[in-house]
Order: sequence, then structure tokens, then C-alpha cells
Amino acid sequence: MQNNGGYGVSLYLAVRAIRRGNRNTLALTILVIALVVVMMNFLTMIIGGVVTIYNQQMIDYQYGHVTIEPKDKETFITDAESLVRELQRVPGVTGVTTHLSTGTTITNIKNGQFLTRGLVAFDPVDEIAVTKYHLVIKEGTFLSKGDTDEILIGSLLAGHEDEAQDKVPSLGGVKVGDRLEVAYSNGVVKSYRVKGIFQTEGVTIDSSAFITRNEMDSVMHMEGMATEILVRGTSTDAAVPLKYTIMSYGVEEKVKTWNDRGKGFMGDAIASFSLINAIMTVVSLIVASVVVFIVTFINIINRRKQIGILKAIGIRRQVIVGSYLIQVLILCSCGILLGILMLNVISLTLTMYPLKFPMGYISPAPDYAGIAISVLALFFVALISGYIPAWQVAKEEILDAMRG
Amino acid sequence: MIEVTDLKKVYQLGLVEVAALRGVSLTIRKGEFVGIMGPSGSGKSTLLHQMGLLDKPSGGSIRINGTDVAQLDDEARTRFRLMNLGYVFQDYALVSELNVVENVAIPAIMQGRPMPECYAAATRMLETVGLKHRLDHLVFELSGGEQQRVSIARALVNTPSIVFADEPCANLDTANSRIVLEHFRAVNRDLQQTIVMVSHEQWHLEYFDRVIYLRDGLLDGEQMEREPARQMPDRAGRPAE
Repeated sequence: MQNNGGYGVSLYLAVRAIRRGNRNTLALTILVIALVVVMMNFLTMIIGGVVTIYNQQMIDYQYGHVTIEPKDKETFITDAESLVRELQRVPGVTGVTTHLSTGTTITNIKNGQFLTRGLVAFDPVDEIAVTKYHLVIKEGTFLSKGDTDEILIGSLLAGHEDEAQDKVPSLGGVKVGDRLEVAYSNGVVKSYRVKGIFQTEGVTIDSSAFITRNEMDSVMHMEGMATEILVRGTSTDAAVPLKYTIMSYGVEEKVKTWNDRGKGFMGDAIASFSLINAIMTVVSLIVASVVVFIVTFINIINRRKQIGILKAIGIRRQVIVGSYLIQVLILCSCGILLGILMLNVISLTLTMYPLKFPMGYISPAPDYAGIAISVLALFFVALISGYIPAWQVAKEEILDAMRG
Repeated sequence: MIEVTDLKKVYQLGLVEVAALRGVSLTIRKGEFVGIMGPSGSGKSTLLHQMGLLDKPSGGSIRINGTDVAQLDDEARTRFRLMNLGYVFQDYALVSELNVVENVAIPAIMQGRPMPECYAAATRMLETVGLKHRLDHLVFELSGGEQQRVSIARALVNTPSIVFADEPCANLDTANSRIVLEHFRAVNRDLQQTIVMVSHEQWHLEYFDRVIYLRDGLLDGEQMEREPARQMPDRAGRPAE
């Protein structure tokens, strides 16, 4: 060890104090700091997981990467076909699908249960290039382009015969092959065979229903119109540039990224979660600082006499305080490493056995920048909490300290 | 040399002021082995603590080797203690988390000397006090006599010009007390280090060059026992420098 008669001596004393100190106190202190690290970051990881899955669901099932909406004060995109052709020429676009939505009442013919729902029509071939409904078919099959008598519904809309098992209002246990009666807003009533039931775990998504565009046009006669156009790009990160590229092509309709559209309800929910998380982080930091203060204080009070001895034989006060700060740093480092290890174990376990949330199975998403900030904050409060009692005792008169 | 002039120390115990030293003046020459004796409460330890810069006087002055130490700030006092003074306490005052050699080496380490040199010096000192076989032991594994010898080794490792000892034999039996006193006598004779020791044992007189008596915080006379060590021959019979 390099000896400069200053902080080298602090390190010398600190290492020996830890090596020859009380092992149980040491282990408990490290464990408490580790748990604080877990407390500070666990909720953030879960919120991160919720946000990740919610974002992915928005992209994969609701909005694509970019959504084109009707112009202000208009309900429909009137010349959707030419707009689609234009969008397909935009660099970075990998898929385009039009959605035409209309209000309907859907009735389960088997039991008479009915619900009011927006029924969405799409071209199944175009849809596969943008959304992933075709990959989450729980029963039956996805729609085909020529289907006119068939409907695709979500698992929550299908529901269970036993209502107690339903989380949201449902049609009371629809199976593939069952028939549903759809009453359109123009008065037309048609019966459809359930071709497939999909399950994404998203509450809103799994409560929806789809038919083919050809079928909707035959009923509503709204050829060439759309309520929205979904565009898929090359990646999630490319959504914003893609939006501006599309706008640069002179598209007059409203162009929004998935994030623009998803800011509403979930944005508020995430903001609330983040506030709770911030409160928990502050509480955790206070707990950590109190623990470090108490441990250092008890440690120092028990060693008042030793501090007096060290001062008597010529060890400077700063060196003594420094030795306690180094002890705090070592304890904190061990606790933080253990905490990060525990976080990784928790994260790994929850990735293997995800938590079931209303929007699906959540795997924690570690926020490494957040962890780094919490670690720095923990070091800071620990050093302050260690410094105060060390400085208080080290400034005592030598003989008072030596009396213990 | 230590020159104490009109030294006063008053302790404030609640509303009551207790004068532990009421104007002590004395001089201790370089190389002397001086005993401070007197009844309990006479101010022996208080005087030692003031001279050893472990406490601040209420009045008067202390000059050590020409430095007015009463004027030094805390940092300078600490530095002065480290570089010039050694201490041996009644209860040994060893650091329990350091082993024997580390306890002795720590003042040398604090001086900024290279670590191997510090350990070598500590080992030499421990060899001198007969504890070379105990280097790696923790202090609680030693007897009281051994702990006091470690304390002596620590006090001497930086070869201070003055060693202060506050009743170093109070917790020791006669045999161990003699060992401790012989060590003091030897370093005083061989290295001409000034030793100032508080004691209440009459038989310790045979080791002192001079005894200063205190009573009620005042000097109560002094008694020359022998010429200071620097004028005595060493163990080999060579005259001191």
C-alpha cells in the first residue's frame, strides 16, 4: 500500500476495522444496503416492463409505427386507396393497412348476450404486413381476403360461459364456429361465423372484433374510405423519422407516431407510477441514510476510546474521519454490488416466470441509467450519513474520547 | 527541554470550577527520567496531559524544545505529538483492531515513512521489549504486562524526544512493573530520551533521576535521585555523549 501519512493511513485503518470488526453487523449492513438498492430499482424495472409491453402492444396491434388519421373536422380519410399507394412508395415503409371502423351491436346468438362495439374492417393480406393478430390466434384461424361470412374476435370479447371468470363484459363464452349477429348503424343486421379468437393479453385489444374489408364495403358501401391507416416501418426507433418522411410527401391527413397516439391514458398512468416510484426512491434513500448513520454512529460510539487513542498518538482528525468514510464506501460498494446481483436474479426469475398484468405478462426491464443514478445517490447519502457522526466524535477532546 | 511556567488548569464541572493545577512552574532537562508523584487528586495526570499536549491549559505556558506549544492550533499540536512525543498510558490504550506489530507501526506509518520501514522499525522495537514472537497477535491475546510493553514499543517507534507515561505500572504486578521500568531506564540511558512518568509507588524512585512532588495542584518540592542519564555510562560502560 502506498503510504503518504494521510488517506493511505485512513485506508489502512478502515481495511483492518472491517476485517476485524463484527462480522454479523457487517453482513447485516451490507444486506440492508443491498435491499435498499433493490427497493430503489425494482418498481422502476416493473414500470419499465409495463411500458415496454404496452408500447409493443400499441405498435403490434393498435397503431403500427405510424398512423394516418382523417383531417381535422373529418371522420374519414376519403381517398384512402390512393393514399395507401402513395404511402407504399415512401422509403422505410414495410407495410400499410387501412382500417374502417363502425359502431355495431354484436349479439351472441347462442345465449342472447350482446355488447356495443366498434367493428373494424381490414384487408387480411395488408394487415399481416402491419399488425400481428395472425400470430396470436388462440382458436381457429385468421381471416382470409375472400371471407364475407366470418368474424375474428378477441378472447375477452368472447368471454366465458361462467361470467365470474370474465374481467370485462363479454358475449358469455363464444367458441370458434359459433354465430354472432352484428347490427350495423345503417340498420343492416348480419350473422357471422366466428372464424378465429385471438389473445394478446391487452384488455382493449382483446375486446375488439374484425371482419374483412370486402364484407364491410358490402354492408356499409364506404368503398375507398378509412377511419385510419396504419403504417409499419423498419423499426420502432425509426417511427419519428418515418412520420416526418411521410409528411414530407405532402400527406394532408394527420400523421402520428404510435407514441403520439399512446400518450393519453397510459401516459397518465405511467406518470402516476413514476411519481410513486420517485416517492419510493426518496423513502429508500432516507432509509439507507438512516441505516448508514446508525451503523456508523454505533460503530463510532463503540470506538470513541480508540479514536481518542489514535488522536493522542498523532493521527490527524481528517485521517480518522477518512477511515470511517472509507469503511462506509466499502460497505456501500459491497451492498450495492449485492443489490445489483439481487436485482439481476429477480429480473432473471421474472423473465422466466413473468408477472401477469392486465395488459399481459410483464418481464422487468432494467433501467441501467436509473440504477447508476440510484447508486450515485446512495453513495452520496451514505457518505454524508457516515461523515456526520465520524466528524462529531473525531472533534471531541482527546481525553474525553479516551474515557470512552 | 520542557519549560512549564505558571501552568493552570481549571475544570468546569457543572456550575463548579475545580482547579486541578494552580500555577505550576518547572523545568525538565533533555535526557532526564523524571517522576511526578503526589497523592490522589494532586494534579499529577493533569500536569502530564498538559505537557503531553493531550489537553489545553487554562493559563500559563509550556515550551517544549523551544516551541510554545500552548499557542499551536489543533493540527499543529497533532503534528507536534506525532513527531516529538510518545505516550504510555495506564490502561495501555492499544487499538484493538490492529495486531501487535500494526499497533506499534501506526505512528511511523502516520509520519509517511515507507511501509516496509515502518514494519521493520516496529519489529525492532518489539524485539527490544521481548515481544518479537507476538507480532501477529491481536492485543486481547496478550497479558497486561505484554500489552504495556507493546504500548512502550509504540511510544518509542518514532524515537520521540520525550516520552510521557501516565502510571504505566498501575495495572501490573511487581515483576511486570520492573520489566516496564527497566525498559524506560534502558531507553533513557541508551537513547537519551526524556521520560516523564507519573507514579504513586515509592519503590519506583530507584528508577527516576528526579522526582517532582505535587499537592493540591501546586508544586510540593522536588528531589534529585541521581544525575540524569546523559551523564551516566551505558550498559557497556561507555560514557554518555
